[in-house]
Amino acid sequence: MISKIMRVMVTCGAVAFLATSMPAAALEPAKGKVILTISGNVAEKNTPTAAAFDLAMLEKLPQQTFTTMTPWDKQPIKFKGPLLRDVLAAAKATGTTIKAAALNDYQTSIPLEDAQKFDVILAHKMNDQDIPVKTKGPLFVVYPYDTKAELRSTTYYERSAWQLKSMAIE
Amino acid sequence: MSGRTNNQRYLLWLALGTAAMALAMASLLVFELAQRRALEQSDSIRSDSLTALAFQFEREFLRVRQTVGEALANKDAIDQDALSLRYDIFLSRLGLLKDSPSVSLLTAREEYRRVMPRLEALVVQMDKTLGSPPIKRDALIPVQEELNGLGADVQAMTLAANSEVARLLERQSDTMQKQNNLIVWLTVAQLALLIVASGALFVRQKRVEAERLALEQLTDELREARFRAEAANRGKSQFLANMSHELRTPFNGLMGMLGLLQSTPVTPQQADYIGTAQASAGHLLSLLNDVLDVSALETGKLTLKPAPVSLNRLLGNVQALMQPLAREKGLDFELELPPERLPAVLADETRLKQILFNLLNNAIKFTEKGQVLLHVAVLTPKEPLVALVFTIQDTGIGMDAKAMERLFQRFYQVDDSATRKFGGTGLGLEISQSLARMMQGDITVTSAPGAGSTFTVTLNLPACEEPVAVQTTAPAVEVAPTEVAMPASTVESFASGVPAMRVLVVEDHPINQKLVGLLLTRMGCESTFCENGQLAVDLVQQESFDMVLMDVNMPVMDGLTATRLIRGMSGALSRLPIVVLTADVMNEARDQAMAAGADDFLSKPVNVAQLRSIVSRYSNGKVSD
Repeated sequence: MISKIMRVMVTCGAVAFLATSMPAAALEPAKGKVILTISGNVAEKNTPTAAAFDLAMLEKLPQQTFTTMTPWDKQPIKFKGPLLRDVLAAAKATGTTIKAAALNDYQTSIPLEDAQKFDVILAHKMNDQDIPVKTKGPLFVVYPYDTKAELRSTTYYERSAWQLKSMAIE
Repeated sequence: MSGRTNNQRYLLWLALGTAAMALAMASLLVFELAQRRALEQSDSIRSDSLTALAFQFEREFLRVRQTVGEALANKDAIDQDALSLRYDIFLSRLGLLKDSPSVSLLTAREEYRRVMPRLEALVVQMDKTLGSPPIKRDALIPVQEELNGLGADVQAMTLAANSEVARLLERQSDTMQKQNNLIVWLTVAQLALLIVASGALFVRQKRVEAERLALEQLTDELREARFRAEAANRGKSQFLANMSHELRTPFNGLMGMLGLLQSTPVTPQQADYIGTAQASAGHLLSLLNDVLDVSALETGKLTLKPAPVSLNRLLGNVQALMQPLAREKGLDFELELPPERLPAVLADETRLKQILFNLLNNAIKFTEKGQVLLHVAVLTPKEPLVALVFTIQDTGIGMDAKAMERLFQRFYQVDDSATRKFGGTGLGLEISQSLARMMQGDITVTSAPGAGSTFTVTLNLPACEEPVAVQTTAPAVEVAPTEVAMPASTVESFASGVPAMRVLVVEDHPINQKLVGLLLTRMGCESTFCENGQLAVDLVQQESFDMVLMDVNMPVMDGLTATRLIRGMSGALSRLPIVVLTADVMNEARDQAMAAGADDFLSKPVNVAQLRSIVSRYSNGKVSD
């Protein structure tokens, strides 16, 4: 009984802390077209089952920009988007694995700790242009490949899902 | 010469072998690097496989075709969003097929070249149809027809991609195989080279070993040759010793006869001739003695017989003998002694005198005017060894450095012209130096032409008590070579009145028989003669004798055997005094005589004084001194 009260209090504290660090405390419902759905172990939901994001919500998060070579192109490309860990924090996602799915039904597993270890972003801009579905849009999981040799391997290339549409947290 | 060429050839082969080995290893390295690069390349291709790209494209192509087909089959309104999404995804796949680096493998294939323009045309057509909603069914029908028409070609492209990748892998595997083969061959070559190199090393090692053995054999042969040479040299020395010995016997007669001749009435002129003959004979004897000494030194038979010696007395004797020689040539002779008495030493007096006589004789010989000085000093009088320094200084002709270098060498003589003038065997200095070295010392010289010479004799002799004044050694040996050479000593007046003492003279040489007989007659003895040991053994049993003078080397039976036989007889005969008489002055001659049972020993040439002392010793009172 007492421990339950304590847990509630701690949770409230955490929420209070998050609330102070992020002005847009509670996740508002998406106003535009939903491009990313985070389901599973998420504490912050704006639909009955998941945290749904439109492009504007993602653009409100702190943005990260870097340029890197990829195996899919002959030229280096400039990517822009929120850090994966900030997106997960917005949905208060907890767990070990992200099951990412793409529009073309591509599926891949990303360990949750990748979001902490590397500056992985959900890119919505390539070379300062919105990414259309007919290339690799609207969202592209991009690792900063040029910063670490270990990132230039099949393991991380497979985790780099493009045309990302949803993430299930387990 | 050939050894050096061999070595150079070996070094050349070594260098070539090393170079070949290095080359093979470098090639191996290059191949390994090439393989690694090939692996990296295939890695990058695997990372985004062309097959997967083509397959995914075909899949999206089929899905968009299906979506279009469904839209046409459905009588309701067309779901434009779903159609657009499928189309966009299809486009993204098409983009990848145009831009992805992996596609380079496929772009040359006919299947790709055939399908791509048609796909481009399809995209233009579909953009037009889907770009301006609402989508009209009529516009979708030709799209569907085109999509259906493309199906076979799209599949052909997928298969082409698959075949290209398979071929690439095949090519890589082939290259790898070839490189592997090369590596194997190179390794085999290296192995062969290594075996050849070890074989060459083995051969070389064997050759070196053979050379070493040959060298060893040569050394052995040389050693043997040296032994043979030394043996030959010893033989020569032995021959010299024998010859000198043989020479002494007739010489004995010559000296004795000359002595006797001088004691007969002769005219002054005849006396002068006899004197000259005696001097010549004396010289000859001294030469003979030198040869004997060298032979003895060489064969190691010369040993010193140390006895307590009073240096003061010895030097007095030396002075007494040398003074007259110097005076004869008009030279001063001076003996410088330390103020205190010289210590007594253990030394072979005869040999010590020999050294001093030799050096002083030389000094007198090579000095025309001025003086000859003998200076004696004691360096360490109290030690167990007394260090003595004898300095012999003259004002003679001296010599240059070259002459001094060869001075102590055998047969060295001052120079050709001087040889005629001064004579000598050229052995004296060698003998003296050898003797000095046997006495733990040496002889050195300093000199300059015209400035005289200084010979320094250093000796280290054991100190001892002052010897008893009485002369204990038998007088026979106690004579320096020069003294022996003085024939004058044999010509002293004969004592008379010796009662008839019967002496058996065993001597094969007629002249010696005659000389000894004459001397004995002069001493009043009765002499009987026989020529060998066997006759002597017979005679002593038939007649009665007071003494036997026994020569050693005789035909039929030698003197020593006869002596032993007589000693083995019974009664008084076994005690018959036997005096062995021999020209053999080697050290062991005396010992052998004594061992055979002789009572005494006399060396030839016979000295009157010695013979007299012997005769009187065994006369049993028949001789009065």
